[in-house]
Amino acid sequence: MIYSWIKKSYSRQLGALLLTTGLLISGAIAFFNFQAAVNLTRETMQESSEQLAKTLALVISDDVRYNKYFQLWDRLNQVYKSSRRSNLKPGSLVIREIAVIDNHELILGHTEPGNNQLQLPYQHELIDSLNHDVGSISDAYSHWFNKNSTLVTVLPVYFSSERIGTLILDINTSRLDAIEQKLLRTFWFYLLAILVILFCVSYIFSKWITKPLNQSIRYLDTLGRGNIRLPELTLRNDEFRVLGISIEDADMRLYNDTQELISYRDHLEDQVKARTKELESFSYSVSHDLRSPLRAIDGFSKALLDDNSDQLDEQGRSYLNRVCAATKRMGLLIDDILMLSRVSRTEMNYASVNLSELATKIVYHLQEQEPRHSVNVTIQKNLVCQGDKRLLNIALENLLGNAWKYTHGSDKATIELGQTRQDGDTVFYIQDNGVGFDMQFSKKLFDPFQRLHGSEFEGTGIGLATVQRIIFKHNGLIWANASVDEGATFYFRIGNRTAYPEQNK
Amino acid sequence: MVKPIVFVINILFFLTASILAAADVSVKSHDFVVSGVIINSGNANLIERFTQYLTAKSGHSLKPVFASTYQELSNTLRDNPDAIGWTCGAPYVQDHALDKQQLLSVPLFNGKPLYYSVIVTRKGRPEKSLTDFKQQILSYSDPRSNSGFVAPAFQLKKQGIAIKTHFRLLLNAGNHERSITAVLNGLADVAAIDEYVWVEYLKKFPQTGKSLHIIDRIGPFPFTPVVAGRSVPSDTIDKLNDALVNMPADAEGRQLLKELGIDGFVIKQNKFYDDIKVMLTELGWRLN
Repeated sequence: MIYSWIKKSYSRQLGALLLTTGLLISGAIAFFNFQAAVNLTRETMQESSEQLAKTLALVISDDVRYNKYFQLWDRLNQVYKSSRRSNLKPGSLVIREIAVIDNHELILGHTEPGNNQLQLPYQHELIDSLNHDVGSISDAYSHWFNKNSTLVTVLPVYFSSERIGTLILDINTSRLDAIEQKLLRTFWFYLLAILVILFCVSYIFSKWITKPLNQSIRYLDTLGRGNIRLPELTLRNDEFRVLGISIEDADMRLYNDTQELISYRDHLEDQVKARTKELESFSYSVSHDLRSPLRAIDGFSKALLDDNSDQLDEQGRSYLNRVCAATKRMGLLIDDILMLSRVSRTEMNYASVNLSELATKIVYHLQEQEPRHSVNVTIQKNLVCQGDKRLLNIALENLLGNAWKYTHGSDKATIELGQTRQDGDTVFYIQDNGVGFDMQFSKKLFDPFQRLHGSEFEGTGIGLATVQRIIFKHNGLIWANASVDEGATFYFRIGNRTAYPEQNK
Repeated sequence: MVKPIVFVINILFFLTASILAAADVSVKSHDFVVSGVIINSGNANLIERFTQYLTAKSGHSLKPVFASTYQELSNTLRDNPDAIGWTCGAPYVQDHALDKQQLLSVPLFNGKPLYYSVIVTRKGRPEKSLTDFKQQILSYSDPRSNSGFVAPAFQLKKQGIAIKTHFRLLLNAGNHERSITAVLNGLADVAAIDEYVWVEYLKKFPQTGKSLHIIDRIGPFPFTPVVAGRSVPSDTIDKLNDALVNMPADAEGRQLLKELGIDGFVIKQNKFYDDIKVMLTELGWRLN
């Protein structure tokens, strides 16, 4: 977890690297110092013990040589008591016991004679555990019994050049243990202090190192606006100077390139607008201009049928009826194309629009035109949105007209206009139980002149394209969900200006 | 005129000084050699006061000299026969025989010129007598001490036991106090102590009585005498005896006796020490 937290920041990585390296080096130095201090203390104690033993051996040699037991015991006891008295003085040795044995390892003197009686074999648990034979030790020899907190120093006692016995000095090292504990506590304290200092230094150092980098990163967000100035970097003398200059150059280049692209885009958009306008004008003109000859064809064809039908055979009348039907269909196409063209050119006039009222009127007109088509229409009340009333009316006319048209043939035709919530937005829908359509063609649904049904249903294939264009002009979306013979539902959303039913406000 | 007067005055000065120096030789002080029982810890000052008292009362100047052993004391009186000493019964008997050491007075302990050798060991030990301490360590004050060595050696000899083989080690402590210390600290198992020293020691260190106790007594024996070298004249001996015997008669004498832990001094004849002489003879000491 900490590793992933560190990995997320270069500053943290640098800080962690510095901290770890510093801690390892400092820890190693502190540890070696601690060990050196411990060793020095031990060496000093061992040296003092051996020095004391040597001095004592000189003092007692006469007593040992001439078996002056009491004097020997007295001297040993004086040294022993003196060490006990100086127990609290720093650097003093605390003697646990002193023994002097002869060459046969019989006791000549002991600070605890009750336990090690004169002229009896010497008993010493620690000495017994040594592999050395005490009599074979020819010079000062010290051994640490750490578990027993004891340092044992063994020294031969000579009289002239004759070995007359052995001095055994037991030093209580528990004070040394206390000193080592103190040293250990000091070691941990220093390590903690080093950790804190290193942490602060690492933090400051990593921030200092990564400061220019962070400045660079911060300015990268605004790269391309042509206003990046990095004097903190460009005035430096290190690698970050190159980085700063590069960022400024890149920013300026991007800005210039972007400006060129924007300029070219505007130019292209102007061209597209001009072409579109030309096309729409052309389309309107063509559609409008086609109406006159079309009316002439339709009018003269009907006049020919009315006035000269008896001069025409059945086939001729049939041809003229087909001409009339074709001109009628062409008229509808022209009307729809004009409508589509008008929708595109219409300036938006926003206002609060009651879709329920518009739908009610549209349905009324549909029922008037086809009273024999029985449809159960349900319109939710007070469906209100912000939009262009005239365009929304056209959209509803197309959507409701489609629903009306494709429910022909249904026994219990139903159409419902309502609203629902999807993904937090208000969505209007028009649902019918008509013939529906196959969803695999849903992508072509809103393309102009695309029809999903045959000649059994009239239509030019422009209505849904017109509806989509109206919804898009309202910054909205339209989509459908359907299946064959189970009806269709068209959903549309009008931008962010969402309407709510009045009663729910 | 002035110079001859100054010369005469100088001559007179040197003559006077020479006469005074000669007179000083005639009042030369006697060494008062002390060892053994009398040397206890910290009583050197008391001995000096005792010596000054005797000097004042006898009219004979005494100078305290401390010997570390009875042999040293004997040697001093032998080599300096004008010296006075306070010795032990056994050394006296031998020194009287060999060096004609003279007996002055004997201290009174508990009203009598007698004392015991007490056998001391640590409490809780099963031994009841010296014989029970076979192959253990005996601590003694001096090889010539009556109570410290002669008495236990004789006691064992009477039972057919040689002291040198009976004990694993004979520990010469140097004086009775150190002998007690040796037993107290476990250095020795048993010690023969002068009864007088034991009593005085317990007065100074009463806690010792909690650790050590007397398991046997040997004696009684004639107490430690004040003696004189072979050259000390009889009038000096008489004056010193008077001073010693009359100590209870004055306050200073009584105070010194109280501090010394004795009741006074009594004049005894040499035969008073015959019992010790018998012991020494039995033990093979050279007496002639």
